[in-house]
Amino acid sequence: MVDVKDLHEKLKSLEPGSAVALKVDVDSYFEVITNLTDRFPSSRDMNVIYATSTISSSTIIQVLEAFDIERENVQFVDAVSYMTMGGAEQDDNVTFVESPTMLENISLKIEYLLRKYPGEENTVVLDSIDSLAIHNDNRILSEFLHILISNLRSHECYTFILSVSEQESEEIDNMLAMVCDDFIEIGSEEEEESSAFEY
Amino acid sequence: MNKKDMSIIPDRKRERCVTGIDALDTILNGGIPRANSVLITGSCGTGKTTMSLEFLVHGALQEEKCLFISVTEDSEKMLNNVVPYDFFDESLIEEGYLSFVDMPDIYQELGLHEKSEFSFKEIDGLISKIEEFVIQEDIKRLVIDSVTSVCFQLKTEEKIRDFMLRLMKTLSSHGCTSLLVSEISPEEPRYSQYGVEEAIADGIIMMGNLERQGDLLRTLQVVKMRGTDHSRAKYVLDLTSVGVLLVPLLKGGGGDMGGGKDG
Repeated sequence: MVDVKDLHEKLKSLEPGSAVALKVDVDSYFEVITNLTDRFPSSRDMNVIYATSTISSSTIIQVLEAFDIERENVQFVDAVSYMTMGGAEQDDNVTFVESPTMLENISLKIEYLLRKYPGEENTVVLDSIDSLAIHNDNRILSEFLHILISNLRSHECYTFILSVSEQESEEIDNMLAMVCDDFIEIGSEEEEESSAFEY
Repeated sequence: MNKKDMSIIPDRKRERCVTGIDALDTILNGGIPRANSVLITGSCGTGKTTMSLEFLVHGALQEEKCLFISVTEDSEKMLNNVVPYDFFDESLIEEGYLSFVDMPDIYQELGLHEKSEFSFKEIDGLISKIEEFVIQEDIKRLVIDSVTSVCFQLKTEEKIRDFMLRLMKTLSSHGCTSLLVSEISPEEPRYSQYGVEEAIADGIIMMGNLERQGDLLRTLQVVKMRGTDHSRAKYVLDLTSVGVLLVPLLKGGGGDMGGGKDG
């Protein structure tokens, strides 16, 4: 397990076109998000496309603002706000997909943003595979990941697919292992110590 | 099977008309074979007009002369309603690379505006008028939106066949690649309103709405394209300011997932 504080160092060695599965514990979730939307991309002057099906883009934006993170270079694909019939706040940096079941449209919006804001390098975050799995059959999800990551590799994007440790599923782990180059489990030292104590 | 049938016919490389819609060019193995007449068919709201216009804009950007003949809608109104492209430049119109003509104006000029049905002679006149535009302006890409509306004035299958055959032959003879927009109702089990157009066209691009578990997806499928190998798979499309984007329709290991229904 990688401590969330060491995540940035760990990601530094990634090559363009890499696809990484990040298994995150709930306590480290927001720190991981800030890492992927700020520390990692700013070290390489990259644009970020953040596709969310977990929590609304407006909530993530609030978190970024709370941490004083510049979000000019962060574009969101929000596949959750329309479905929940609320919080679909119009923002220049947010593109909405009606439902997390419209996987093709998530791919299309990512492709759109890659073309609309072409940068030399781009980071794409998919948050999360678990929430997509709630709404989609695993076979179609697997096909979606395969096509999406192949396409993002051709664009030389750094792709991060988030999953939540607490929602562990062997089938999803296998799916990620099939398409990703690396699988990083992230936690915090404090939690690891307390977990060790509990066991 | 005779010897001729069994022989391997080499892939003759026909010159391509690159549509500029990247994914479509990939599907078509490089673009539409130059001088083909292609039926863009589908029900309303599937993106036929937008995609056809993008085809012309990309042509104009490559300094090919392009003509949009609008039959059902005033072209100015139509232009206001399509997605504003990031790559569109007003100068394409000012410099004459992209032109618009309203079919009712042609009808008026030919004295056809009050006719409910055209005769063979009048069809002749109509095709000659379109040919005149193509020759005078050296048009290399042409869209008629929609050819179904023209066919509505022809009434009989014989006249429709005559019109379509001669129109396509004329355009082709001048090296003009054309997209002929065809409107069909969502439940239509064929690719064109009258059933004649689809048999004559060099290509058919079918656009549709696929309902899957309550979601409505816009789809595109190249059903036929003479002169090139092409994918016959179904794709999901999005109409965006950077142009038409396509991704493969996900199948999830079988069929249209959850009883997807075309419309």
